[in-house]
Amino acid sequence: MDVQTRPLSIACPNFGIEEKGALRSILGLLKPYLGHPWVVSDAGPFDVCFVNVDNPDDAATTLDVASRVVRCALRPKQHPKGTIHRPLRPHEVLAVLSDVTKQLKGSESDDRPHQGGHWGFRLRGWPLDFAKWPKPWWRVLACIARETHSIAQIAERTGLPAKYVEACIERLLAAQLVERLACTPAGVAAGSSLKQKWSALASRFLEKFGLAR
Amino acid sequence: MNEIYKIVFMGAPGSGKTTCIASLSEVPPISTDVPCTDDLMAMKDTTTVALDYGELRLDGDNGRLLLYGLPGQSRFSYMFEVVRTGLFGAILLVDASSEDAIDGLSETLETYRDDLKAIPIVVAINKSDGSSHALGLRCQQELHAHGLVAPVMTLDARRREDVVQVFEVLLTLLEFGFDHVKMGRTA
Repeated sequence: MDVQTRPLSIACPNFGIEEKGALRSILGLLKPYLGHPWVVSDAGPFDVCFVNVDNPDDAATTLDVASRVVRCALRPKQHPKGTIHRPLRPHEVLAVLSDVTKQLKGSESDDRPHQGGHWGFRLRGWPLDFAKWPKPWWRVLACIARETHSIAQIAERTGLPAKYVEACIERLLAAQLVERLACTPAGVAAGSSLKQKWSALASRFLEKFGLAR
Repeated sequence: MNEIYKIVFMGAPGSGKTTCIASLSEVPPISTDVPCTDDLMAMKDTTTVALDYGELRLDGDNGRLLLYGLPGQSRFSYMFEVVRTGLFGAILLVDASSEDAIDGLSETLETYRDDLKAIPIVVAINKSDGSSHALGLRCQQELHAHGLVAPVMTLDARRREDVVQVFEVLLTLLEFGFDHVKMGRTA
């Protein structure tokens, strides 16, 4: 279901029952101002995650830098920019949820970014378990760690089939670890002498370590 | 032709720099370890006062990979000049057993941010008791806060295969993420 028609969902994995109740009340109060229905939910998928960062152990297990995470703290000034107050304050909740709504609706507003353009992908964070992913997918992660590339560009740069690249990107999108951005179909420097140099160097070292390519 | 490439291991005292180099080097590693005389005595017997050095030789020609171990603290930043030319990767070691693990990483990122943005980097968590997920997330947050996106993985610096895997990730980054960035030096 797309963002335009479904209620948007908030996860509060380390909030107490009372705090969740308070957030539900705030959402009720803000309904006329939010422009889109929001609900506190216990089951995913979630559109945003509110995390109590005053409880470091709990927070560490729920925080994911790559997700839409809203940090909530008794003393927000002692935390990174963007942290909001606990107990939650309606005007801060309104600001945060309005931003997220805008982002979500913006990302779904058009399937074609620009005339002649493509969707490009850029990594927001490496999956913590990437070492268990298929090794060819590491190439995809490396390829979009610094720059935005389309599926075709990634396939060309990594030498992987486009379908294989798509599968990796889908997994990254599901984990909210990749940004989808408009990009122009720039030329790919595949086969450049520098690329060949690094490829040869990597091959020599990997051979030395007994790792086949 | 003598191709020379450099990789640097950086981290706080006790994070495993000396051990990583020893597990990879093909020449007896040069170490500047001395017995601890200060608060570090509680953590380990010796500590590196300057830098560690090891070498790997490439088959087929005279190419060499020089392995350096540098302290990550800002007060040692002048030592980075030794390795800057020809550097093509950095492995940032985090000591999971230390209470100051994140502070050490944060200081390294703050001090070397511009240098680290220009080369492939991997954050490697050493001395983990098997529950490093939360620490991994904290590392990612630190990277994020410094405008960096880099893989975070765990390793046991005493196991060569673990160090090699970190190396493999670094090489993948070099090959597919820096394929149009000039690095390295031919001596």
